[in-house]
Amino acid sequence: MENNLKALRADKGWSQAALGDQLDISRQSVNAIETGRYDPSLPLAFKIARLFELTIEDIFNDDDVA
Amino acid sequence: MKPKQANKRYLSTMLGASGGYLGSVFGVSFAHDHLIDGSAAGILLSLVPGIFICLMLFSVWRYLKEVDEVVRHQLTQALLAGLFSLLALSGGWGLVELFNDSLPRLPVFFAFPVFFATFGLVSAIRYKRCV
Repeated sequence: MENNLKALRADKGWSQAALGDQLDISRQSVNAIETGRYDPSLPLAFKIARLFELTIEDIFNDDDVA
Repeated sequence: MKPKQANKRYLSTMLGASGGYLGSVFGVSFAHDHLIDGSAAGILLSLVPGIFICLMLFSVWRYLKEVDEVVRHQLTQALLAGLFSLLALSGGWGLVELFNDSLPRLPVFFAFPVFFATFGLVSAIRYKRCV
């Protein structure tokens, strides 16, 4: 699943570690989500969306998912 | 618990238990060769490395509960890789042993090192991909 988390994070001027601290996950985990290696669970996706004050659909794109 | 704290606690427990395991394996081996015979004390002493194995498994279990879902996912995959490699080796070689009496028997002792070596290797590879 694709996402624009990296761009959103850059807009805020946050490092991966700073974003990880706010989400209570590690920097490596932020990297895994940003690069699409890991699709977050629904609770974590909601947490990310709330942090950026957006909807989940604004951040994650499931067009390539059947 | 913060990810860094969980990592630190996991690494310190795992390294300590690994050192204890290696030391106790060599220590018990030396004791059996030079100090004690096959008495009850010898059997009891042989159980010592098993305590460190339990400690290592406990540290993995505790780490699984403490980390975030991404790390838990990667750790679970590494654990499955370790389990599958162990099952493939024990099942595959076990059948070879069963049908060929002349071949050497693989000691059960190797189950733990095979499992943990694969688990550690896959964990390291998966971690490196996310750094």
